[in-house]
Amino acid sequence: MRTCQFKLLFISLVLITLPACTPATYSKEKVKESVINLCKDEYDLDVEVRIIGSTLGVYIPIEGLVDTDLKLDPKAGEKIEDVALSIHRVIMSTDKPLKFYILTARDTETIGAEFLLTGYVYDVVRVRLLDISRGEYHKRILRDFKFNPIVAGEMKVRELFGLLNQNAPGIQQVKPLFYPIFVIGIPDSQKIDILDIKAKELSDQEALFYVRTKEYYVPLSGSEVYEAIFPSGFVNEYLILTNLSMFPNPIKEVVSKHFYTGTEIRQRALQTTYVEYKDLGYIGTDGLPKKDLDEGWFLARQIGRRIKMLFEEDKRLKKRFSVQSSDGTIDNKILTFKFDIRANEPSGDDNQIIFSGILELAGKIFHSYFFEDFEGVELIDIHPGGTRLYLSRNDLESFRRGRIKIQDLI
Amino acid sequence: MDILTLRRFKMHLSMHKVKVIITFAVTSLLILAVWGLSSLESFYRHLTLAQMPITLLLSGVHAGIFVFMYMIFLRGGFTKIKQTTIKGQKVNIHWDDVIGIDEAKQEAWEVVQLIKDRTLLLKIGGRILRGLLMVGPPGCGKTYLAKAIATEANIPFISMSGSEFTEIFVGVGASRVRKLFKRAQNLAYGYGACIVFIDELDAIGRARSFSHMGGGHETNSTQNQLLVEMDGLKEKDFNVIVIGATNAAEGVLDTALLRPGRFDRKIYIDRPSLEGREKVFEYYLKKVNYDKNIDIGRLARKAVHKTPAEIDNIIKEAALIATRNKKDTVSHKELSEAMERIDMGLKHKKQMTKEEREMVAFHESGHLVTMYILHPTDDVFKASIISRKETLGAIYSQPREELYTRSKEALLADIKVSLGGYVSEKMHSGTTSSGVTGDFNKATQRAHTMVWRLGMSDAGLVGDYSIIPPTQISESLKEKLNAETNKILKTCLKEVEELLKKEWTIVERFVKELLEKEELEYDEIEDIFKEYGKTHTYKPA
Repeated sequence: MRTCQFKLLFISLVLITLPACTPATYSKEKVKESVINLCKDEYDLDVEVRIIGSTLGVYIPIEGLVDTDLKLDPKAGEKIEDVALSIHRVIMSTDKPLKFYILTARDTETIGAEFLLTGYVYDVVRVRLLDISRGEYHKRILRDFKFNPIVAGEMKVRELFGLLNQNAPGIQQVKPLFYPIFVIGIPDSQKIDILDIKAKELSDQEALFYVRTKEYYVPLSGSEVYEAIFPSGFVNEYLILTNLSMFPNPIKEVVSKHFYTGTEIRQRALQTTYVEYKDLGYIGTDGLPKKDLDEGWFLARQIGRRIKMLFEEDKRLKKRFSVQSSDGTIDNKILTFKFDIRANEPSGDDNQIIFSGILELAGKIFHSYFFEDFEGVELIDIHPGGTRLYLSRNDLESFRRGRIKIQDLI
Repeated sequence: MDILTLRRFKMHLSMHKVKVIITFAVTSLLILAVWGLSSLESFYRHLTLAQMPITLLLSGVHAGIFVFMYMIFLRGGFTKIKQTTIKGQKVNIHWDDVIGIDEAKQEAWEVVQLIKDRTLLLKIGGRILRGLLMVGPPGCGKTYLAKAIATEANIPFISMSGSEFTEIFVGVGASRVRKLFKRAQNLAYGYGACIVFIDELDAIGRARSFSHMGGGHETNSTQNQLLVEMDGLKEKDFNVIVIGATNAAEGVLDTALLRPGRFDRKIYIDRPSLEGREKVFEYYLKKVNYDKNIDIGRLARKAVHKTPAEIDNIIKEAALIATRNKKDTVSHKELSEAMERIDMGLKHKKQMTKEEREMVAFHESGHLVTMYILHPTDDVFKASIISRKETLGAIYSQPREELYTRSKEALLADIKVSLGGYVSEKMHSGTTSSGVTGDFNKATQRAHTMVWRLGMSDAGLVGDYSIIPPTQISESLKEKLNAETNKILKTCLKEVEELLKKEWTIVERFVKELLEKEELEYDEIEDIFKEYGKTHTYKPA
């Protein structure tokens, strides 16, 4: 009887543990389809998905993402939550080794308005396992609600060429920038077709566009000689710099490939110049990631934001300091945090409090992520006359463990 | 599928209802659990499975704590009873195994027939047998007979002891009775009939007491439930026969329990007769390797008033003694020693002076000669001057056959035998010892009873004066009665003195033998008396 009971118990245990042998719900080959299908089947949402390395990018266009006050619309927020949940389900139950996910929601009406959600896959798992609190989890997610300088800039660039073609009033003063057709052509005979636009995000506000065009014109009498150099329908190039802070006229600068020195016509190597600029953006104009994210970048961004949170959430610090800006970047395995934190009533130990707070935060975050792939951290107070501090990885760890005091550093 | 198979299936279903429900529920839950787990996304599936060991462990700990608390504070599963249910054919006690109680067997056989021929009985219109009460001293085979009834009738047998129903909590016993009968009814439904055997029935069957303080409520409620169940006031009439066994007198049991319709049959199972004892000895001796020359009749005579259980014990003890003595067979010597050991206790030699030993030898020889020559019913089986328990020596005697009354002559002989030791001591040394205490006690008590209660005095004082309160008996009557008591003692003393004076040579011979051998067996005693041309005065009653 006892043996029979043991057998039954054993069979029951085997039966119950059998589902552990089944494969992952979302196989690595079907991650894209899984996200698309989940969003469609569960929430009737159409999304686009791209995987670059270990980064999963999901794009959802939303009509009315922002309301009239340029705030996130609650209904749009619900849609974003639904897509995020679908992403979480897939990344947790797939055998594909994903590390990051980016959810991009863009407004189809207000061009350039976008909401970005960037998260670390393991954080999603840890919050489900109650290894980290929900509060900590929310601090770890990068939320960006902004106007994308490329998207908004491109719209303005295309609008500009449209106005040129329409010969709109008020455009006359910029026409000479588009050398040479507006100089050598009969007025109203010019027509510019955009062949290609490439863009780079230089900062949160600025974008650089490389535009290739095909230009048509009828030469002025006496300018027929130029037709040999610039036959109608020739291909031209422009570099256009936009800055969203100058909205509604964000076009800051237009540089044409050709220019006249007074004695001769010369060319600029615009393509080479364009290539030399570094693209700081990671989301393309299609709303999907342009590159695979890495932990260093993610943590630099996260810490940059959490410095602000730290000084705003801590009542004691908030009373004493006000944060103007804070940002984090990584370059050559050195994480740099630039901040402008000002004391409301300056005193002698301000710097010690600010720097020790930031170092403690950075040390804690690196430790909780087991992140060791960096050489050091640099703290820069961008306030005029501000302090700079560099700590190697080992020094940061010693500081975290209390072996080095802030008084020894500043 | 015949009706009985269907009924048995239904019976099993009814009996194991809880088990069936639990099995069904567990199986369903298991299937649902596997199904549910499989339908989960792999992350949650693995999460659930990973948590399972700790969940199981915690469940086990919680269950353990609960059971522990339950056991500690509620006396653990007190409504659960351990009923020994055995199918009739598996009881394995056959009719022929019940020996030595032939009359009881005959009555019990009728019961078996009634159980078997229930249908016939119902057709005739006879009343169904509900209960059978077996009364008798312990160890006489009541349980054995009940088991034999179950085997012969070939029906299930549930055995319980009356004490298993009793608890400090009111209602628990009644609950157990209900459960017992529920089970018995199920078995009766499946097998046609069922025997419920309640041993030590007096534990719950005692006459009910009604106390304002609440004492005895539990026993009362248990018994009330038993009465209700035996009444059979149910929707269906099940063939459940209750066999109760008790060694308490019938008067001890509640009258309601004994009325017709409950324990309507009573079987008195007494100690076996001489013939019965012979059979019992024969039966149990077969189980050991024994000397075939043993006189079983003599053993049976020696074991007067012994129950079968005691006889079984004697033989087991004898086998142990034989093993200790490195003998292959059990002989009369071992059996004799076993009887003494059981009746008189273990020997333990005391360091006595020569004079003391001599005095003890004269004392015991006085008893021995008096008994052998004067006692009309009892016989000497052994004489010993080895101390046992508190005695320094003993004469081992037994009635030659079962006598259920004691004649005046026998009682007088008892007194004379008791005084034999005193007289012998006095005649030998001119003085007496404290060893006569027990003897005088016995002699005085016998003489007192003869006069005060049995009307055996020569003064014609007939009646039981002991039941009259002392204040209501006149002083003159008391004096008369006491004088008669004293007269009996004196007469007996005189007769013993005359006897021992006359047979002093035999006394001295026994003293010599006892001082030499310390113990004398029946045959040796008989031989010495024969040597002097004496035979005992044994007269069949």
